[in-house]
Amino acid sequence: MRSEAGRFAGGERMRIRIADHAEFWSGVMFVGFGGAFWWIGTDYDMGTARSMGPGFLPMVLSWLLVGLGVIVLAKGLSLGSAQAVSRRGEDARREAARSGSDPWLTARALGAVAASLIFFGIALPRIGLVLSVFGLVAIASFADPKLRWPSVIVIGAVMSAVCAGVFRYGIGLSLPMWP
Amino acid sequence: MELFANIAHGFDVALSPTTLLYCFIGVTFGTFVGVLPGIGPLATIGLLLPITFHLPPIEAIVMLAGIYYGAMYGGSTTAILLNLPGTAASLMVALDGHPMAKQGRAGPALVMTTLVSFFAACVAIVFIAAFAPPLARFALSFGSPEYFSLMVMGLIAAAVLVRGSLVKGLAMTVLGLLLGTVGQDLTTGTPRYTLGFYPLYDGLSFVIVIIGLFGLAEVINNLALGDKRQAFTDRVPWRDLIPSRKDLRDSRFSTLRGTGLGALLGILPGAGPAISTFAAYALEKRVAKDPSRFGNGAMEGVTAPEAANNAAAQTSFIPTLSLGIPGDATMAIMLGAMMIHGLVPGPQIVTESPDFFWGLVASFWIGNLLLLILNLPLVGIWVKLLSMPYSWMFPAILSFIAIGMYSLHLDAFDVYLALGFGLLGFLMLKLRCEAAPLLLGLVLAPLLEDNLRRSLLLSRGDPMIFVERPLSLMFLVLGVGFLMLVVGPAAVKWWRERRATPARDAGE
Repeated sequence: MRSEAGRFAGGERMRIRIADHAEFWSGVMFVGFGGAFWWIGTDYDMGTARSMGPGFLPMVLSWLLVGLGVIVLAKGLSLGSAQAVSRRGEDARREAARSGSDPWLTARALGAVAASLIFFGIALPRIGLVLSVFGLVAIASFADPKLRWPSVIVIGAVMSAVCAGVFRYGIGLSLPMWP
Repeated sequence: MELFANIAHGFDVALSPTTLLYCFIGVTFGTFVGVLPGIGPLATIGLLLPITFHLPPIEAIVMLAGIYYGAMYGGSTTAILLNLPGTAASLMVALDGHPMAKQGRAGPALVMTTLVSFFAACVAIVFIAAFAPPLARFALSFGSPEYFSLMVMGLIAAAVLVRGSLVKGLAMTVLGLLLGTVGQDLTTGTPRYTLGFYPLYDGLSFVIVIIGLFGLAEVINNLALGDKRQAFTDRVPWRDLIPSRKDLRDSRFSTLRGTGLGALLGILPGAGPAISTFAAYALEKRVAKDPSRFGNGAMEGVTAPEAANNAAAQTSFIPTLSLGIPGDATMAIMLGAMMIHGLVPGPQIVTESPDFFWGLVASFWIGNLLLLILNLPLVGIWVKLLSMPYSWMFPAILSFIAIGMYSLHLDAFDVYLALGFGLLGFLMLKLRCEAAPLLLGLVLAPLLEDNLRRSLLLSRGDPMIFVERPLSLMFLVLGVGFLMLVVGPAAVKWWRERRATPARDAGE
């Protein structure tokens, strides 16, 4: 990362490091999105300014996004005296500690939520609403260390009943109920 | 007296028993969900949107209005009690509202926000009735260049108002616009950025993006926070719920000022409600005899922004409906919801669908009234609801999201797409990128592209057309002005710091 950042600022003399990780990685994200939209967009016809093709606006916007991304990315870097660098780094770290979360819990939350929704998408057309909701609740409960199996079963049962009642009989969605 | 005839017509439409019932359900659900910590008004509306899909348009919109008010009010409640503002608007209410809550005066603060909201809504509805038709007529004279510049201004305003860095806000707006180009091109029919997925040919569904970016990201974030999640256990005793005579006296003029300011600024496309709450708070602080009370629980500091917010929320329907340019992210969701129901906003909506337009205006007033009736007795209970454990809440939220997404097109693809946006939203949350401008970009992209194309066709490819037409120029200048408002002071500060830094480093 260091070398890439150094190349960007174009100088080896200055001290350059990532002072604000959120800012830096946001920049990377924007550049990434801009680049992807640009790359795919090259296939579309640009047209002329007088008669814009489907590729015109995406092209302009992709460039704009890459440009803005580079600015954000650069703002996340610090150059100059070591003191200034560490001062900014300190601020960013404090901010991260305030809003930060446990990596293990975060991974669990991401995994459980993703798995539960993917399960639901696959299961609903096959085994019906009631079991799918129950499964979704059961899988999602892995995200919360405080949830024990008895509560999970109760929540799952209640949610299955509520969802069946609200969506099938209340709103009248034509969803399969049972396998 | 066309003015009152119009309002009367609106009430005629909105007061049927069924619409009233849906409005009531909307207000109740909206408040119920909006009051939950970690779920702001945006997420609330996003979560409840699927319930309205299967209703007839007018009922659906009336119910949405109810949800909107409920969610906004619920949001203010969490802002005051927990200092967890969900929008820029409730941020200002929390500034003095939360200190009041800490002093045990949450009751008066909550009750006053309800009363003040209702008052502001009453004033604003007359304002809309008086000004919407002329403004819509004015908007009819807009050509493509004017629309384009107006949208650019609105987008800039939205980017400027986010918390945190301006460049990030702009980048999020541009990303939103890019995401808005996904789907078939309007004129040539070329599929863009569909990556071979057929469901993407119609473009990214607005609801899916909202639910992913706000709802799901919020759920994941709350789960990831674990025990650091802010919980609320304090009780607000019943007898302390009623505002004192002094509270009422203190907030008389602040309410009036806030309402006036909100009603006026709400017309600004792209930024109305948020700007107006900032302005109202600043104004109160300016005119107060003792400005030091602000930030420490001054009643004026709660009532003025709340009044401004509600008045602006009402009047921002003028740009949302007649120009198709939403006043803030919440309005953007409402706009998206209206489009789902086949109601295309534009200058002609006032004249061509008077039932809908005036019905909506009236339903906003009714939504506010129901809110008053529902919430005054329930203030104590809403407070208690905040202590419900999240472990019981998130499985319910996830189930509703999953079914809601699946039911859009009876296709699991939408569930996965929402999940994708949920993960992206969580990433953005971690990177401190506010998703609201992205949403505005997403909604406006097709309109922006269409008007840009037409303008350039008109001028034979000459971009000067946007500067040569006076109205269009005015919007662009305003947009640049918004940018300068933020860039100016920041640049001065940066320059001063730069000059000061070497000196300080030498001194240390």
